[in-house]
Amino acid sequence: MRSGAVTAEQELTLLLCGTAARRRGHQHRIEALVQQVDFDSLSALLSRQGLLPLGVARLLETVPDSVPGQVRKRFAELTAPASRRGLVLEALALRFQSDLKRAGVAALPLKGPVLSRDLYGDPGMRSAVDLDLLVAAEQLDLAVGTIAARGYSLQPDAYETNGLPRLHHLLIHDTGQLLPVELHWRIHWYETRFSRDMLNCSIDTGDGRRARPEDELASLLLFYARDGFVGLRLAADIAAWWDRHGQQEKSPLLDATAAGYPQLRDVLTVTAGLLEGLVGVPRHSLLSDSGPSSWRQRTAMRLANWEGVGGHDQMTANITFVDWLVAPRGGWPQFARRWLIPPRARIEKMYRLAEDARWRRLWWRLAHGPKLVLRYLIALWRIRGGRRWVPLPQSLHQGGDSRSLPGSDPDASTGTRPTRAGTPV
Amino acid sequence: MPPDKLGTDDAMMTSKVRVPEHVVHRAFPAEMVVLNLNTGQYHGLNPTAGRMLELMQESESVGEAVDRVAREFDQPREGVEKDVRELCAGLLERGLIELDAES
Repeated sequence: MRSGAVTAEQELTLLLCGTAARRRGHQHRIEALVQQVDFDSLSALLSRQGLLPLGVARLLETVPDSVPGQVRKRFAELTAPASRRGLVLEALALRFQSDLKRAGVAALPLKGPVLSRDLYGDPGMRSAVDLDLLVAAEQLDLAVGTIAARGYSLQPDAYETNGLPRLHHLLIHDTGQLLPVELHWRIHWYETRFSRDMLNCSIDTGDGRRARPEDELASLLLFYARDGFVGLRLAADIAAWWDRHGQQEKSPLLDATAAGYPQLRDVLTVTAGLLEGLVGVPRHSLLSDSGPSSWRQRTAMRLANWEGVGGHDQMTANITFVDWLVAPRGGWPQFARRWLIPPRARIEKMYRLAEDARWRRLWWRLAHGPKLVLRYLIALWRIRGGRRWVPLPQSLHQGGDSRSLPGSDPDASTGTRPTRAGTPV
Repeated sequence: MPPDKLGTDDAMMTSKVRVPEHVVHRAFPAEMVVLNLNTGQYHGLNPTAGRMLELMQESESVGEAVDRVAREFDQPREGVEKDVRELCAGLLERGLIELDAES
């Protein structure tokens, strides 16, 4: 867990990721922060979060007169390649989608440049490190063969007992000239029907299939939850989705999804609750339930690591802990097999073991689960008493759309009066 | 038809432009992006060059495309032909188009 105050750069990044209403409501705070930030640190932080083009665009749109000319020029240089790259990636994603269609495989682009164009009008506004496509489970092999024909190779991975990968196949271009491709058969651990239905109900736009709006929104929440609420990029996308589509669609937007896929109810409840505090998406517009109420749901929210920093092992452990906390009834055996007692191939990959390292493999198969549970206990200790893993800045604890968790939330920090994170103010 | 086999000026003008299967191209308001899936390299064409490529694809020969471009942009044919030849040569060199000789 990070110790120390939320810096001005971190607070500004968080505010810039919010909904339009959030940004308007905090205009004065944004202006004040712009006077405090170090722009090099800010651009490094935005880059690390995969938010450089969006953050810069939002900054220049929100406080156009407050950014010095030299900084504007520097930002323009840093972000110029993004739009062009986005166009190329969009063309690539759509070509792969049409290649798959010609091969008889229905495919849906997920996230990436296609989402970026829809949300921001510019396919380069989201940094992408791979291309994600959703296909039906029974067509995965055919999809792999189709993409492989473009010079890609399937990466080895451990498989579930049903012969499918945990979530997706990963294909890497043989010469590294093109982005990796992930062929998903599902989006979240606790579902199979949602992804299948999302694909089956997708709309043919004439320019390729696209998900229905409510499915796209649900998928973004599921992705964020699956990633253990690390970072801000997906939260920013969901806020942008809300701005773009939220008013036009029938509210609450995800009640039907939660009802139709009860195993995802906790995931959606927790994520919706988190997003309200983090980026200002009104929870009641997503779900009509009472919000995160159980200990597990509230704990999952408090583990959100919106800064995306920390030791790798603890961060990874926290992500898996969130998985457990949002698991549906009957989901614990799946969780245990996935994380606490993973298959041999995954142990070998995680601990970089040679095939003949029999004793080391046995040791890690026995030790891995307890090691993870110890990390969960560390996480619980550090968020005891209602603390968050990463506190929200004080500006989000005041005013119109700020929310605190049920119960006390002693974490608060300001850009001008730092307090040690975890210490009640 | 590879660049070195273009031979006389007439050979290009009577050839038909084809975008090979491994090339993706997509027009956007500010430019056309052309991506070679075999090399991973991409190229941006300004709107004029992008339109020239579109017309070359639609036409039966490069010569016909030159006529169409000259009409559409209301420019002298001689100047347009020079620009189209240069564009063709550049795209051929990068493997982004192929020329099918007149049969």
